[in-house]
Amino acid sequence: MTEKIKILYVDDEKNNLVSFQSYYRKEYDVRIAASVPEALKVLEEAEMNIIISDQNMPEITGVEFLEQTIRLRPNAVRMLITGQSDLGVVIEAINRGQITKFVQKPWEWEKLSLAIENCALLYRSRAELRQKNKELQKANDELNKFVYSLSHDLRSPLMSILGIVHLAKTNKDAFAEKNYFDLIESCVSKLDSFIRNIIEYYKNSRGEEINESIDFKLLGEGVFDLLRNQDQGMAFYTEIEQNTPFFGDTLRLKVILNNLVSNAIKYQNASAENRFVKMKITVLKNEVHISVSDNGIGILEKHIENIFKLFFRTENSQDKDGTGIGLYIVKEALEKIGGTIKVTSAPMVGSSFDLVIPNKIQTS
Amino acid sequence: MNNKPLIMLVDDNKIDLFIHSEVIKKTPFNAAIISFNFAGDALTYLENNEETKWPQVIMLDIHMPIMNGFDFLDKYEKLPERLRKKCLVVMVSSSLNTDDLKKAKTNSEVAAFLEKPLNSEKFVSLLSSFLSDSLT
Repeated sequence: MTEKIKILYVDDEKNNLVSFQSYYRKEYDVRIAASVPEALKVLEEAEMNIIISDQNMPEITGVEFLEQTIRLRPNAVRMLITGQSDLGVVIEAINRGQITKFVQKPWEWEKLSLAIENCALLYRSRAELRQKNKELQKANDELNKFVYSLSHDLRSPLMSILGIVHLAKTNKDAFAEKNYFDLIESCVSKLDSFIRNIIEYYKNSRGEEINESIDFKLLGEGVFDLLRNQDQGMAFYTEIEQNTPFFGDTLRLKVILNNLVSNAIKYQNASAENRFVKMKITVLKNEVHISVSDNGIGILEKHIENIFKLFFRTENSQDKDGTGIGLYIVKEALEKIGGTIKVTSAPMVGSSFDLVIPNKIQTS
Repeated sequence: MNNKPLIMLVDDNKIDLFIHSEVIKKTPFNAAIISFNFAGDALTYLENNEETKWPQVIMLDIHMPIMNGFDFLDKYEKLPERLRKKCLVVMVSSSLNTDDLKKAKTNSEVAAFLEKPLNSEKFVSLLSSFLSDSLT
């Protein structure tokens, strides 16, 4: 439910205040003030959405008062009630007081209600616009950051290649040539893996969720087979138990497991004995529990809450060629398929990523 | 006295270190090169060496893990002035981020900014006056 609109009504005639409040108190959150100082006090204490003022008051005019409220509550919608029908007052009200509605006194309830409704509508649409603007600003800031990081990560291997090409042009030595090709090759693979990452992220953020039968043995082993040759010295353990059919999004699960396992390989503890990554999958009727654990370098406590943020890299992950995208992709993919993830980690002991993903078997 | 100029390269990308040292070898400065993969190691070198082993030029990358080029400069400016004043810091980056460029240009320790890829012409035109003593 949306919050009640807050109205402040200022008038030196007590009777008007009382009848106004009793008439509108159910529909709106009404505050009343019998004088300008009293009204300003209310405004200083609380945010008001609509400010209504009488024109003829002993201290200052309604227009002057409303003009003062602009600085105090710039987002409020202002309305003037007056017994005068002087055109000058109306013009002044609109120009100086940023007053949206003008109601004649003595008022007809129907007209007054309509005017207030219009003000409320205006307030709400302005508030919505402000909110949207804020969100856009945030999205824009993120995009800026994204574009700069992206352009740097795309450009730096290209500039390396260009540098090598310049060298090769001036150096005709055959032995050096072979070396140049190797260097170019490694730059190209680096660039390619970065682009694949981006595409993965893009596919994930755009694609609809797919529902198909999943064999976790096949899926888990498949992920391991793909990554095993990245490190021959590392042990890959699976413990997969599936006695019930599971329906879900194969592509996203693959993306999630790929990222978690390649992180386990990337962030291994080179000095540890028996380096391993272990994938444990237990399929239940309603959900699947997946845990990917390792005895790698682990994550510092202070970093754990940030690791799923886009482009977040720890000192360690920069050292290991992390792009700061992998875990962000994991989080986004999990959100799409309604899964959750929990991280437990201790530096130089290892990390464990524990996932729970719902089985969509009933709905398919 | 050894009049071969010493040039220090600081870059996390090993391929770029290779390119830069090859490029510099092609210049007529007859320079000796020391390369560092981590800015922290480069700093340690500077801290632990006296004038005779200080480089005349430091080619410094911007985007590096753990300690980036600007972090390096924050620490570098605390080193003795008598050593720093004989050493030129040149930032080298593939960054198109105008903030990076601005930051590099306004840093009093930075003598120049060069865009990657580095080539001999760029290097020579920037440093010929500074290293001309050592031209053979």
